[in-house]
Amino acid sequence: MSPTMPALPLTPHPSRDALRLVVAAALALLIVVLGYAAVATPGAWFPRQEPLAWKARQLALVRGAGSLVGDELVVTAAGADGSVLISLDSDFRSDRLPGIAWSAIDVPEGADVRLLWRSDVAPARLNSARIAVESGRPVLVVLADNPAWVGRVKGLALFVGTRLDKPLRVRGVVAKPLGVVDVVGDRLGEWLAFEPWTGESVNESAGGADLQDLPLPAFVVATGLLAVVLWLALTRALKRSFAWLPVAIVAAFAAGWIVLDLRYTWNLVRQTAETTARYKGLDLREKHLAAEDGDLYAFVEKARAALPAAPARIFVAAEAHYLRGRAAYHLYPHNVSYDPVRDVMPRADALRPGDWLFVYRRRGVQFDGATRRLRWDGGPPVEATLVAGGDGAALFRIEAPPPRS
Amino acid sequence: MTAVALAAAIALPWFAGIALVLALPRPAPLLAEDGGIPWALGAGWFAGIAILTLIMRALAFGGVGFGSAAIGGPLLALGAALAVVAARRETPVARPALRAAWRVLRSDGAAGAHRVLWFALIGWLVLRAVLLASEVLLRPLYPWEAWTLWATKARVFFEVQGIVPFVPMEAWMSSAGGVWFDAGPGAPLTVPLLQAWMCIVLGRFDDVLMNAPWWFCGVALALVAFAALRRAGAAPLPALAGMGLVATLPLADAHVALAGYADLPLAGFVTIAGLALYRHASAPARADLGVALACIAVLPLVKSAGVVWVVAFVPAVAATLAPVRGTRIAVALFGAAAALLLILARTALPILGQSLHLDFAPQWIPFGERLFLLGNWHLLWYAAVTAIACCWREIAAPPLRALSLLVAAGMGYALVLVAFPAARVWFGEPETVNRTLLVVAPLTAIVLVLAASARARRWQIAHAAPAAAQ
Repeated sequence: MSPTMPALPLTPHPSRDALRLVVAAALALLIVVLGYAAVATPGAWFPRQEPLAWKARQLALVRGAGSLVGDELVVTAAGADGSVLISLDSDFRSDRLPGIAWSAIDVPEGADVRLLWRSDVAPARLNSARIAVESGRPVLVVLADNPAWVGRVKGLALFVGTRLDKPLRVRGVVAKPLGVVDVVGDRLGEWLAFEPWTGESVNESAGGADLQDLPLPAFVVATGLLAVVLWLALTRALKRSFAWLPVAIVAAFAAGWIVLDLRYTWNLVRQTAETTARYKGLDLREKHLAAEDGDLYAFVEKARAALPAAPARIFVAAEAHYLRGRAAYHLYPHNVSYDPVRDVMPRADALRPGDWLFVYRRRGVQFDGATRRLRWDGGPPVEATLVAGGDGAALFRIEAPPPRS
Repeated sequence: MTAVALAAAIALPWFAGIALVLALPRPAPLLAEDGGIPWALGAGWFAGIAILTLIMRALAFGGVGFGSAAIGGPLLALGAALAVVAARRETPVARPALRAAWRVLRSDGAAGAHRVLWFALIGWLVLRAVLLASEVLLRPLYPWEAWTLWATKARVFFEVQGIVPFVPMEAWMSSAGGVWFDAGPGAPLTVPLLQAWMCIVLGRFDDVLMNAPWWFCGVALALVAFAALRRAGAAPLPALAGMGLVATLPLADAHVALAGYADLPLAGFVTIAGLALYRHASAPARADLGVALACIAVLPLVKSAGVVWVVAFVPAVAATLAPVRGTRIAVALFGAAAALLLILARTALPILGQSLHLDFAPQWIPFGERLFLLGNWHLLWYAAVTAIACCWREIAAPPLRALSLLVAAGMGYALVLVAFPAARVWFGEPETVNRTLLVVAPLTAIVLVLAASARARRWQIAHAAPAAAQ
């Protein structure tokens, strides 16, 4: 063994040291779980109250347009005021059911989402609590400390204060007693929540659900630290040597790392299954058509067929910068120009005859086929030919820029 | 046919890189060392990337169009020439080295529990590699910058069979043609050239398979970590555990699975340069110093922020070349950097018509969350904090001092980005500091293993007598 990297220290009875560490780790796990439960459980640990659940068919769509499809209330559009309101009649003791969990998907991120309720204490008063949204799903709302969560709850509602880009699907709502089993189950659910790849995955990983009441690394570190402290205490109480301490620390660290990596690997297995289901057996073209921007790719294919073989100057326009960038990417090696940050059209007077304009889901672009006049954002018209068109998509060849004033 | 082309596209630069690593002048054969083979394989992969892309640059400069033969020919010739040089020294030890490596892999002579752990760890790492390979080989180019500023160039270079200029929007608008535009016209060309090479050999622009090198970057980084720990004297199992730390870093794995960014290759070059410095600090050898300096020189060719990493190496290089005086220089450099930041934060210096000023707007809480609470790093930064508290003597003493200074400079750079968010624009860094930390994370893991081992040794010596008395 080299002097730079020694063996870890040994004691006369390493198995006893290891046994003490196992006992310490078990104790530490128990203490951390119970300690957290004591802090996080809002009411009784083992409540007698069963959860109350309402299915989609028991919900009323008060504001917005939609219908019941299978087990889901599918809301396709917001109401005239740009919001969605779903309500239900209820009658339960608020102190026995302090947690409300809406089961819904495709809730717009960043929207003002609220739980509304009335109670028999102040029937005329409409109370509300903000609902966090993660991955398009509403997060459980804990109302134990909300002063308006009193008496008997006589009606619940879900308010979504935004217009909908895609249908909102609501499956129901559950009022939970939030005993210790619920609390522990919720944490496990957060840690094991599937975290698929997103555009942010190369920058950041949440390590489970986006919002976590107790992040797994914090739990693991607390447990490991306490295990080592308990091992020290046991070792001191038994008047044994501390020579094994480095091994205890490394073992606690390794165990923590393994727990975190098990979670990560389980997530990766699920991700791989999803990726495989989506792309396996497809050729490159089919993969692109199956990707998130498959519709765009299909139109780019159509446009490329109309473009010359030699690289052409193409201006790309789309409202969403994702679509602008993706369209440009698919159009290379043509000589593409687009604004990576802002939704701006090219200056009409910067265009040359023979340039191309690729437009995808971009409002404010008008083309008169009879006169072959193309204009955008109220600017001067340019003479152009529509070479390829699709649903909200078009490729124009610029014939003549506007006359210079 | 595709599999053969893919294998050739990977194997050719790798062969040249391995040959270069083996051919470097050194007093004793590399393969005879513990960890010599994984070092040659891991460092050889990154050396291969450097050689390949330098050849492509040279061809473009000479007006020679890109093609499998035009690039592969010089690559093969260079690799063969280097292999001939390497063979003179390495051939006599190659067979025993391979036999020894095989024995290590089979965990010959190890006790039962040791063997179980060994194979469990290998199985775990193989599972991870298979899952990541599946992602890389199935998914079309996915992450944002990969298709806004890296693969854009690769596509054009592949189609025009050469390097063409990418210019800012204003220059593009006024040009008469022959120049291209994308979201990062000034970005270095190593990554696009690597992708273009893959497509050239495949014979088509394939934005799935052109990302295969990122999987090999991940594997090579892991091999380099194992090799560094073995060469430092670690037994195979602790070295494998250290390799596991590097191979299972979640953010690094995300960069393998969602390939196409420059951060992982940059991390590879930084890691090899740092480890070569560590080797030189342990046992001075011109070859190691040469490897370190060559890798440092490559950094600006990989990513724009590579220039900053070159600066981050200055304290480590100084402390390696002159352990006593260099350390003072390193401390002075850290002090000067802090003073410069203070001046920039308190003034608005007019330089070349621009007002240089940095607003102090720290984002400590999100930074802390990223390090300690989210799923980016497992327990890496907890361990780093613990090591600073418990192993500071080992961290600050040679031969680890140079590596520690490098990690400190990297962390310092990250802290500057957190405290002065405007600096991200100057250095071309992304919004999140995680990708900055990714560059130095593999080295951090290796430093932790080395420092903890040395600290454990000190603890053992201190407690050996009382323990023996029990």
